[in-house]
Amino acid sequence: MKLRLGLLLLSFLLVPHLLHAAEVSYRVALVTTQPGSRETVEQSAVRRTLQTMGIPFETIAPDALNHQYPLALVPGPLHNHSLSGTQREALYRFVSQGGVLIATQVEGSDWFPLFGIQHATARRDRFQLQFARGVEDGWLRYLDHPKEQLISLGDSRLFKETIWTVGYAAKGARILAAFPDHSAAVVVNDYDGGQALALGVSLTQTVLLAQVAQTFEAGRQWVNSFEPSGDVFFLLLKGIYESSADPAVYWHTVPSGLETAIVLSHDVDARESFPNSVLFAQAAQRFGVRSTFFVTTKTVLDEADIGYYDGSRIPSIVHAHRLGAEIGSHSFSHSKRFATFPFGAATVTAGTYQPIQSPSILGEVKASKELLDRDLPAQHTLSFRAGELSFPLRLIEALQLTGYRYDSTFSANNIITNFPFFAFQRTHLGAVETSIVEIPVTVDDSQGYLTAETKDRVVESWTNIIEANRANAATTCMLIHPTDVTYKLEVFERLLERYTREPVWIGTIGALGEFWSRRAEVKFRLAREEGRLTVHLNQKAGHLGQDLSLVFRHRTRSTEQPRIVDVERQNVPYRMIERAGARVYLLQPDIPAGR
Amino acid sequence: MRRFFSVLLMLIVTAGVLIIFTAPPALSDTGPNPEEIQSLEWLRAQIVPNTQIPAPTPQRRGLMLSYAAGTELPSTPAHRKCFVYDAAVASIAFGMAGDWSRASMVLQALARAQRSDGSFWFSYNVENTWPEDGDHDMAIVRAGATAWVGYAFAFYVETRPAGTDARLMRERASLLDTARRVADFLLTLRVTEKTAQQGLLRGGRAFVKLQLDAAGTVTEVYDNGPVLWVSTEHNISSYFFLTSMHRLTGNLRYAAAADAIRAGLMATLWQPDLQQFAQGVSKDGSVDRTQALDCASWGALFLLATGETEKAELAVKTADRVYANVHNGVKGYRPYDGKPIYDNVRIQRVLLPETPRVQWQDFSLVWSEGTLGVALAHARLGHTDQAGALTAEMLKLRDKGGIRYSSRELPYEMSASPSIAGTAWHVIMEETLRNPHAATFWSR
Repeated sequence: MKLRLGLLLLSFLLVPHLLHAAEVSYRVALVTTQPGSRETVEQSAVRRTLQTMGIPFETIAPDALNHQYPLALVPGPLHNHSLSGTQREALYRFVSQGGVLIATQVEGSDWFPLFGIQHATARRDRFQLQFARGVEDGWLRYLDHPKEQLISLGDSRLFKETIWTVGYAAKGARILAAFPDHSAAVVVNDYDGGQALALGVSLTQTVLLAQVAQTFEAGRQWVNSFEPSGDVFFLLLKGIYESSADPAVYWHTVPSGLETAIVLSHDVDARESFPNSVLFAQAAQRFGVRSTFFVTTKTVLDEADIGYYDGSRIPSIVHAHRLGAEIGSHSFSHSKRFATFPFGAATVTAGTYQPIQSPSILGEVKASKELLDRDLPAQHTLSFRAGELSFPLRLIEALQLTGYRYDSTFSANNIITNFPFFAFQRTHLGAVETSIVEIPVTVDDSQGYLTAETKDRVVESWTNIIEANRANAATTCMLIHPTDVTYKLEVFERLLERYTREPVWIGTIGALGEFWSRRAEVKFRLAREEGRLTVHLNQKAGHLGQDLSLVFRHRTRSTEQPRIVDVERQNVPYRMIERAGARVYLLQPDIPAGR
Repeated sequence: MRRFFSVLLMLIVTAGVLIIFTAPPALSDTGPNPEEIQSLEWLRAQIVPNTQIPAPTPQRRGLMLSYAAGTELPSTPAHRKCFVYDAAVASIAFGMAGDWSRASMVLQALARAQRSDGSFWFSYNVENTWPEDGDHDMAIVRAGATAWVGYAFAFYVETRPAGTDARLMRERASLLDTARRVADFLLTLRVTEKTAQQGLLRGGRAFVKLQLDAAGTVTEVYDNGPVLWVSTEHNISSYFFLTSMHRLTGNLRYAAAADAIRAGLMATLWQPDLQQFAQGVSKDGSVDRTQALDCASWGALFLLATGETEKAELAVKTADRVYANVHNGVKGYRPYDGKPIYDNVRIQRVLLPETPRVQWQDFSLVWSEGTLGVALAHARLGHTDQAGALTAEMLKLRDKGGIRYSSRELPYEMSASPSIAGTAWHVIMEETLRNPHAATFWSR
């Protein structure tokens, strides 16, 4: 009897250990010395990077690091006294016991053994960063385009100094990237059971600065090219996460589990563009897609043009709207001086706005929205693009105040990213984050780029850009001014002809922006329950929409199908798509469970 | 009957659970016995960070405290130190016992501590950055200790199954490179003059000597000059390292250097009348015929490895005859014979006031590491019973899990604290006695 009891007791003691062993290690630790306190700018940059890639994370103190986190990120700079001795040891222990740690700007010698560094030198005159090739572990798997392997950190022809960088001399670490002065830009060190990676740039200066349009002109072209100099840090992180977590699970960046997103947009800012818009909207309708028309609602004569938003042209916009087009604002007057306008008064209305005498940012965005909402049936204008892609310092703040949700004013090449992001209220570091989704413009037909003579070359060039973004599950935002219905319409149709037959999402600024906002609100948690991997969502099924998808990548081959449940533990049906070694689970909450 | 089956079922479940949670099996066929397990656990607990040093200086993380916690005063040389020889022997012991992750951890830490010329300081403080190139007062470099570290790298690379794992392959390449730099450093110590000791390695750099100050207190004095004497023990250690490096790299320089050491040891330092090797060659070129235990015991291992089996038998017999003694009921071996405990009589008078003129042959002390070295020589000569008995005898020196370095405290000479040296050699002997894979250690 005593033996039986003893054995039973032993079994009870060991069973929790068995359950413990089955915990899922999928969440990234964002390490902060003071959880709960106001986040630092670099911490915010790291968080936003994770959010862009849809990677689940938890903000924790160093002491809370353990094997449940396959990957930890420490926002730098890491000086000797950035952390206490105990906190430093917690990071060392995490890596020693098998964790993967990434830190930005490692500068303190106490950290050098962990990262395999001999010394570190901070400078502001490194204008490029070259990634290595043939690195094992899959960490650089997404950096396969020449422009991803050699990235720009600023234009040395225009600036003597650019962003701060830290160049490393490796001592034991492998060099994953180097600066032109041959110092290492990214090093990774095998330390006991784990690995530690030091990034010689901050995400503040590579990701956040770009998102407030302060890039030291890092974009190698203004528009019409593939410019991933900011995206490589998203992709690097994604590659490392996928190699570290098992399973790696994250929100897909493209609606409906598709491979890439193409946003169709047209700026209606010339008289002939109004009637032509109908033909572009009809073309989109023929291909079963929708596009956004940004309409300038100019009602007064100025130095550039007449007040062409009038009774003769508004019906064309109404027609395009009826054909399914999204109508956004392209400002009131499309002024070249928009960036210099004062902020203005929030009380301004379409009736009181005086664009000649007292132009203002608020007047431009509010008056045009009011006119569109007035003139189009059931219109609620949510998307904005400034004329001339001109970006006043307080544009986003004005859009937020006046009820917009999406903006598409930045040039993707200029701000070196091809992913949507939540814009900052103002264009400086530390500005307040908003819920306005920025979808930057990637390709633009204007200024004589697209002509009858160049149309074939443009189709080829834009296709190459779309394909490069496709490899990263990024977005290409296309802008065609509907000033012509021959070669421009032909280019538009040729691209639709190709891409509507492929697993590519095509749609409006509003649709992608809404997807991006909803994606940010839905959080998930993984657990193994009754032996089955279960995904718990924090929303009711009805709030999920039909286009969110989770990507699963297992390090070892797995045929396991997860169970996905909503906040009320109701099963959420899904469709599985196998793609490049990963499984994409497209949530289909409207499909009855069991089908 | 039902009761029988329910008990049986629980036993099966429990056994299964226990199997899942047991550590992976060692290389050995039968696995370590409880005494070896205890020694391994003690060694693991000496790796910093540990309870004694929870947040070591980052540059020294993964090194090992050579002695047990709380037994050394801050003023003593062993306080919070990792002697690189100890860490090297411990990593070999971990490897023999199949604990490759601990072996790797210690070796990685040693690799981080390597100096730019490929050498190692004799010891490292784990709580601060002493010694380093800009702050190395009282720090010395010894060829023997450096060779042991190099051998530990080579032993790991040669013994750990490589497989195709990219990470292990990287580690293998990195450790081999570190070992190569150790070997290249040692080659700089070769005597190049055409003398009897040509081809042997000199001792290293810097000395710490004891002296009496005006107040009659013993103090340590540092001399940062090159070491001109040659140590037999250093050369035996270097021989095994260099032959190993030749096997790993195919580099004939290492084979030639090892052969020169072999020739020098046999021609100059083997003492037929003493039936063991002399201690070394003094800086004036004369043979230092001081009788030291390791010149007999490790000498026997060297002789066996070079095919001199008869001389090996003689050397072991010398060890048994000259150095064996009993202290406090423990049978073992003392380190020297035929000389005072301290070379300076005035110092001995201060440090050993009750026996100011005593010599080693009249002094009872059992040195665990040295005794286990004799045990290994016996085992290699097939004297398994003697080897087993000596190994078991050292368990009498077990204290708080570790094996004490010696049976009594001798200031500046021998610590009586539980030590890595005694404990790691215990693991090595346990493995030697039952694990066929252990035969590769110091045998070629």
